[in-house]
Amino acid sequence: MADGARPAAATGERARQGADVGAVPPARIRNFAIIAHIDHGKSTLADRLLEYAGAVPAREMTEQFLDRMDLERERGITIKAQAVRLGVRGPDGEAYALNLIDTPGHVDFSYEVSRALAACEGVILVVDAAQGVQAQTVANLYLAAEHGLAIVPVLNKIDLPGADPERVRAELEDLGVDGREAIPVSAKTGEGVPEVVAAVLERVPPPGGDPDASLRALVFDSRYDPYMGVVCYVRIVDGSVAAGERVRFMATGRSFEVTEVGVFRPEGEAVERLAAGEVGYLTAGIKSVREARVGDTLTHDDRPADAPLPGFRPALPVVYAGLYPSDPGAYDDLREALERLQLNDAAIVYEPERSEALGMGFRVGFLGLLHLDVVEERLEREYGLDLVVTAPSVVYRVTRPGRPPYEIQSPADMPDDAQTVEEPFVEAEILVPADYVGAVMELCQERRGSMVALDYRSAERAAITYRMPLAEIVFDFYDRLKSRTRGYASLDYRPAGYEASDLVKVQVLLAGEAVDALSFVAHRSRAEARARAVLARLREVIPRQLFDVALQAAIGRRVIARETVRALRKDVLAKCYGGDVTRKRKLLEKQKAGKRRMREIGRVEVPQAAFMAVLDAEREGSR
Amino acid sequence: MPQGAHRRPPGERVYGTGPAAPRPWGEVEGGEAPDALSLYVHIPYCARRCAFCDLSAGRPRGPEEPLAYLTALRREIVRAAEEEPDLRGRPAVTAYFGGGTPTSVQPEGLAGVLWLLRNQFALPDEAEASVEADPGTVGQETLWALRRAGFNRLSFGVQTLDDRVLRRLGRLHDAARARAAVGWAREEGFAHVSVDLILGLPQVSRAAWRETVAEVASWPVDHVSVYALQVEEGTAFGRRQRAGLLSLPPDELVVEMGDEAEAVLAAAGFERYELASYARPGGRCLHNEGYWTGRAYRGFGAGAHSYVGGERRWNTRSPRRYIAAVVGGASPVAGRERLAGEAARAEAAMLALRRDRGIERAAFARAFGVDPAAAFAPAWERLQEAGLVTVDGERIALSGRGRWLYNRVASALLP
Repeated sequence: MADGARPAAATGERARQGADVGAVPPARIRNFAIIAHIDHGKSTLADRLLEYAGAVPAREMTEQFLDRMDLERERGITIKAQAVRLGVRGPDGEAYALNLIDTPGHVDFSYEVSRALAACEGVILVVDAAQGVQAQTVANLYLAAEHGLAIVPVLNKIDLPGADPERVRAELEDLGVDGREAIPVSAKTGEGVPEVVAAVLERVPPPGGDPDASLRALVFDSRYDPYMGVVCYVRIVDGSVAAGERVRFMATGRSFEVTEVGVFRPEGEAVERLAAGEVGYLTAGIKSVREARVGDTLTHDDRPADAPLPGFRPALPVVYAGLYPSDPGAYDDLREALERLQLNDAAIVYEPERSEALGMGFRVGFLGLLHLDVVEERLEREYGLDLVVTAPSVVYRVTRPGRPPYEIQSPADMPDDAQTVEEPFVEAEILVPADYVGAVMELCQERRGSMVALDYRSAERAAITYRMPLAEIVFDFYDRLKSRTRGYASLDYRPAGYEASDLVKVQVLLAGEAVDALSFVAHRSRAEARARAVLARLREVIPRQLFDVALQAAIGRRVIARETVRALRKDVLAKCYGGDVTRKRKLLEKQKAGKRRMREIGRVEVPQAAFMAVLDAEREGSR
Repeated sequence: MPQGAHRRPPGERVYGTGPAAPRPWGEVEGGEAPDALSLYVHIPYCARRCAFCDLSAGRPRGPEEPLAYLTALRREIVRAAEEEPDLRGRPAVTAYFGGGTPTSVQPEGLAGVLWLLRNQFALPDEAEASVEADPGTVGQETLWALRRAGFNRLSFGVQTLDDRVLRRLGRLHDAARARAAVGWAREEGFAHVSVDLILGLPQVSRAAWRETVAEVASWPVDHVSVYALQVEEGTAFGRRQRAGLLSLPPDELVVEMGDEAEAVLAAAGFERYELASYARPGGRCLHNEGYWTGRAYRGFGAGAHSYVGGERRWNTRSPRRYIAAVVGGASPVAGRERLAGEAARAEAAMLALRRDRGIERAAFARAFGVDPAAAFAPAWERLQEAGLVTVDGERIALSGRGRWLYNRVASALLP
């Protein structure tokens, strides 16, 4: 009976399969990631691999060891990449180092994914043996193929009664993967795990690279640690690096003295030197992750490489939203929280902003809406802040008579006398099964896109490139794309300059007063429809007041849509049973507390949700 | 600790600082002693649960439970009379048996409890003694027995006269039965009869509502209560609403129907003396007036509330736990709170506003040492501006629109 067929309780024994590896030659290193559709068991398999190699004693295994942040664990998503070195003994009796790199899984972080995959030579493709090939299986497989990685297919959950490995093998064949090579596994019981390890050793090529060349190390992620400063996750491509050496980030030009290099097993463990082919971490007294950008190349200060590794892109925020403390007194707390968050999140930028409606707050830049959600949630959870978030906007470039062009990050700043308004465009690349090419093109046209290229990578797989306004992409494009392609598409996009568009600022007025935090910018052809959708949404979320509240949307002075929140007619408690005055009072107190959480704009009480109405309307409208 | 000084029982929550309200803050017709006391008895049993009702009333577990409950009630009453110094020597002015459905227990049982109240608290024979009755389950015999026991006021839960709607509510009566019950009540000699109606029930047309109100106004009753339907969590209505199956009339229509009821009742001689209460001359419910004016009351039974000496407290809601506590010699009290200073004033104002007399400035100032117009000045300004209250030298009262927006007015006064 194979070792892996034993139940999970035998993990103590299995741990002996691990091997204590110090420095190993590149021929005995394998760098790989695990990719899977959601819930197909990626994290559980990672846990089993860790156990197998004895990296974590079974009793210390918390589920999904790799997803360390609570937030990630709750949402089942990985935000930051992780890297763990597993020591195993190969069939030749030698110790091998397996570097498992865990990647984030959302388009907001697609650049981080691409860098993490760039640090690998192979992937384990996990497919649920009952559910079979799903959308993200395909999307992830395509990404891996784009990076030229070796694929180790795995059929997980073979312990489930509904498992049908033969059918799923056939599905893999359809994708151009050799289904016969797929390894049946139960990450739950541990069955098949040794075979997975053997396949990684056999099929994933060892890293190349020249150990004697000048140092080139790819930074595929970085995080801030309060004790060590910034910890860079690196893949050494050429050369080697050790503590005490002076290194330089080739994109930023900043140089630092290395204080420590090491590997994760999964806790950080210092090593003497990291050499070509290895994956590990590096610290150098770096104060902020902004100085150690993902995708940058590290080289030696005194013997620099000729050229950096390809593919570096600075992480630029693409959407900006206003963040205001619900309690105006918490402004300083918010500033402090953003300062701290920025240490660990290179993509966040912020500056103070004043809104007539909301008081003092910050204009904050994000990579996308998921990034915004994550930051908002962290601010609320980790820093105990209660926030009002205004609808996100892209950065517009405005030209006014007799002035040089300048950028605005908030619709409220859009002047009425702008000569031209330019908006950011992106080049979006969409990988999709050939059957969905039509659906994707239709969606892109709707979003003011123009096709740049359509490239069939194989009979089944197409890469579609569109040039389109960023504003059409950031809000809900990914969701729409997923739903129109039944989840099979993957999306990546990069900035492609600014272009003049017929854009107008739409102001929203409550009871006759323009509310800066509710204004938005729209393409003229869509302004009216969007205005109606926003007002309809506002009518839903603004509670009835003691008087009629007029809601208007206007371009300049011209009102293009209107709604009314009718005055409250009736708000009266029913019977007071048997002198239960206390209950009555408590109900009224609750009502009063609810009112306190609202913002008073003029005489109108506005709930926090109203400030997201612009975005909500957008999301609903396209549903 | 000296006798009579305020002892704070364990678990009491205190809101606000300063003195509690020592005296009533409003006046009732005919006047009453400042230390007058009302008595309330709760019967937590119902034959069926109505679709709108969120009280914890339900069916007893077996035929012995009501008997045990009555025993516990009698014991709580005797013990209170003997052991609670705050009750001693106070003139009892009303008794009220509510529920649940008081008539779901034998009238002899209610008779015994009322007799005990008269005995222990010197409740005069002519004092108002009300009992709530379900027109679907009482026969003339029962009414005869209740009258003989000394009850002189009946309150019928009629709700509507639309039979189709009554069935949907889970009520056990129909319109004919309600009509008959009111007639029997008069035959048996009840001096006061009240009818409860619910405004804004689903599927009641405007015409049907008008007919219901007009017919009730023509009956030999001297009191009508009109409650606006409130859909509560945990009721059949609440569940239906959540499932999107409850089609309630829009607020605008409810307001029109309510105003119409007021007009129809007024034409028949009923005065709206409180938000939900209409009475012919001499028909006001003295017991309920006590709740709004700060009169002390002592409630007996599961879930019953008391307000004595500035403290509000309540018994455990579960009949079985109540029985177990009282029979075992323990206290059935589940919670208590004491309002003082600002909090006490706000609550008094909130209650007084329910009455047509509103907040009587002189009486309120006597009770709290501050003119209510000054105490909540900024709130009054805003509420007057919105047309919800009127303020004059004597009183602060709700306007017609303010009555529909009572919650807004009341919550504006809370500290």
